Amino acid sequence: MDVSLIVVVVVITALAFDFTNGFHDTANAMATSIATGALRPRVAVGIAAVLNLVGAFLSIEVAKTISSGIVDETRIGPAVIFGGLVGAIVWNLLTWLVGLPSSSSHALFGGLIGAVWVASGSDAVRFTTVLEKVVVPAVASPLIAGLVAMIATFLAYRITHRTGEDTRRRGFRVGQVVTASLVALAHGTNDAQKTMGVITLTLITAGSLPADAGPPLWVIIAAGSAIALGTYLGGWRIIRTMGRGITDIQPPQGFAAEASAAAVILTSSHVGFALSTTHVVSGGVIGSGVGRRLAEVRWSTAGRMVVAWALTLPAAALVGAAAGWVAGTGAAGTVTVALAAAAICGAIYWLSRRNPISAHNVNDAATV
Amino acid sequence: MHINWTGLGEVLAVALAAGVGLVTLAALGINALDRRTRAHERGTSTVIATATSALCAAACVALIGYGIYLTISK
Repeated sequence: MDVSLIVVVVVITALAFDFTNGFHDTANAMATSIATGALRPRVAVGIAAVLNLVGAFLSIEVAKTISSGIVDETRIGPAVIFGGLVGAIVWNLLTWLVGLPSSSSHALFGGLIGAVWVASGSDAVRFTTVLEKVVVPAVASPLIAGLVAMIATFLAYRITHRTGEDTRRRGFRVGQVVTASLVALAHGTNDAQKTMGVITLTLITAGSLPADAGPPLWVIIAAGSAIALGTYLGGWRIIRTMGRGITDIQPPQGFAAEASAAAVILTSSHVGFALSTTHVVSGGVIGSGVGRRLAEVRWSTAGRMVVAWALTLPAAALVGAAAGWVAGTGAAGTVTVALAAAAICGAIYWLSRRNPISAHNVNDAATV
Repeated sequence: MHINWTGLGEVLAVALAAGVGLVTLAALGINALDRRTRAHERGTSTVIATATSALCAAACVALIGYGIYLTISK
């Protein structure tokens, strides 16, 4: 069996993306529990990592398409997938550096759109589908989660306003841990299978697997481990923004935010909407800030976050286009892109060390 | 372009019912726990408070169990 260089590179890059996906999204499940002290930071990311791994093995339905139909799948080759993944990784790391939660799936979609566009022209991109499947849910889901969290927070305080402070704090903290775990599990079943889908489809196009094969066991193990490892590493910069930056979260709010997010994520995946966990949880946290009397929502932070959401698709598309174009020129191009991507990632990591954020100081300030 | 308004409405309705429902049940249960502690301190009957908190807890567990079922049966 002759496995070409590009296939090996794509598999490694897909796992790298999965890893960034993990640490970018730890905040979704655990930021509120860390902020309220319901869980110690290291324990929180540990639970999230285990549940992501479990989720990866539980998901029966592995993604059958790489792009969910937003680009013409017949025009996707390994170079396009590679370009798309590089675009997604670079954008994920940049948003992590500035501590902004943004959608990893949008980054992947953006990277693929850019890479397909330069490889096959704009008619390979289905703009209507992009609007229907990406833009509309991205606008609607944080609004829905925000509304649910706002009402839930209001009721939580209203019902317990005469309850002893100690009982209230303890009770809602337990609720927080349970709902946060549910979000982590749902994340594992959704996001790990995306990477499995990408790797499996790449192996199929390369002829290493028969056309209708499911993911081999090593792919499941590798993808599950990559996302769990990333989750355990903890995207502390994003956790700080999500837990402390948007609003000062108390246990009833944290519970309301995660419960609403879990409800929206589970309902919509049942109805068949692909939506971003990041958008839903951010909406939930903002809603929980609006729903508590006298709570201050830092709208400037929320605004920066929304700008990052809007930029995710086009920015990842630009990087994906450049990477896909160079990688498409042959083996030398592929190696060039891989080295350039590694250099950019190294530079971003080096920049992050000037202002390191870890489990020890994640709750110290509101922003990165 | 086709926007699936029915689906969006469905998500809104179910998420509203489940999310707000879960938080309300938990809050009522926490309330009952608090009443139980106070009744215990006063030496009055704790039966109703205990039953209410247990009922709320059971309802929360059922809702979350259904959530887990939805996650893994997909």
